[in-house]
Amino acid sequence: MPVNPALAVTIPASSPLYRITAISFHTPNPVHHQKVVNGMGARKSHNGARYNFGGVLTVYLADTVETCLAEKMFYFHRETVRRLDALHLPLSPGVPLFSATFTLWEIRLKKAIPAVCHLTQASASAVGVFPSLMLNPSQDYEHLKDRRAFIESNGYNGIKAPSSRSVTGGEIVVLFDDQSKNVNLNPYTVEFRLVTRAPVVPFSNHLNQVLDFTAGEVQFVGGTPPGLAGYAGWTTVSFNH
Amino acid sequence: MVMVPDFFQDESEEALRAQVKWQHEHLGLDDSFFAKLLGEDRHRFSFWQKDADTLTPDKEDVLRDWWQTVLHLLSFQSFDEEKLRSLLEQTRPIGSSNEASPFSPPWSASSLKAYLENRGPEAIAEVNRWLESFRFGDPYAPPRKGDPCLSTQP
Repeated sequence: MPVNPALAVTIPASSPLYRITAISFHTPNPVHHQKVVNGMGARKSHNGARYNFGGVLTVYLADTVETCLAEKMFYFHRETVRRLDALHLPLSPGVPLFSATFTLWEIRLKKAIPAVCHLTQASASAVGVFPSLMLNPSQDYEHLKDRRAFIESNGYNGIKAPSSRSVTGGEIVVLFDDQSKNVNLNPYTVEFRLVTRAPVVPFSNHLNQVLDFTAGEVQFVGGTPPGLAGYAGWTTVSFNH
Repeated sequence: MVMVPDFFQDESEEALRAQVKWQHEHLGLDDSFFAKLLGEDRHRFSFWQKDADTLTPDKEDVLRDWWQTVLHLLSFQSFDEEKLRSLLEQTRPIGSSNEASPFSPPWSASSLKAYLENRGPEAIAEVNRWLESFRFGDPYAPPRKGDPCLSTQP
């Protein structure tokens, strides 16, 4: 099955896309920043992620800052809860911190990327994707991993799909090739913290507080990406869980 | 803006030396640890660290792989070096339960540091899988055929 023009979109050059990483990618010398989009994190992963089997190069990006924050908040939340779940183990890595600092990258492609398969609720079935699993906020990824392999084998360069974490209809962009030579990047420091259910306060004690499972808070430190308002102080980030 | 030194992401031999030095100073990992991890003569490793000898390319690659794991571990412990030191050195408390869990680390019969020293490069991959299980893995899924179980005793 060749690339279907009805499904294919182009990810344009120069339009901002976003990704969040550990701060260990944020070096003074920008030559190292390109690693953020080389796809090697997925390549070296054993389990894979939503749209990749383990060992398969993949670059995950988000269409907006809000989508990016919602995606990251979900994984930060999951990791924290899993660590609490493992606290009884003799070799537990200990009580996790309920706040963390990350680097948000504003990424602009130098050259547009054509033939990206745009998955929507209406179009997904054309490539055998179950719309429910595409939007499923849990971590049931096996079907989507399989469909990504199918989509890539049909000649597409990536997937644009709804973010299952976004509550505002955001999309993620999943690219199948190393983009390290095809980007300009700008880093921003962003702090995350988990919060309780109402009355909302920072989550600080797992022994007697209850997490909000659908929201956390973030704030940018030292500046925000152009055009982004409202994140200079702690700001709620809602996500599907 | 929160930043790290350039050698954190550099892969040159000079950067490898800086990474090893950083691990000496911040995590307490000495030449003995690295020599065991690499299966290298300790004196030769010490000379390499002083830029007075060479390591084979495959051993430099092991150092690169281990550094990536250190970065993951640092991120996992929110860049709290003391927490990472504890994780490297803690051992199972005497009399603790032997009950296995999908989150049990692969070094459950020793410390993480000793596990790396004894098992070398293959231990790095197992540590990476354990770390990944907290974020992406399905802890309730059985291991795939041929995969070692995360909770397998070393």
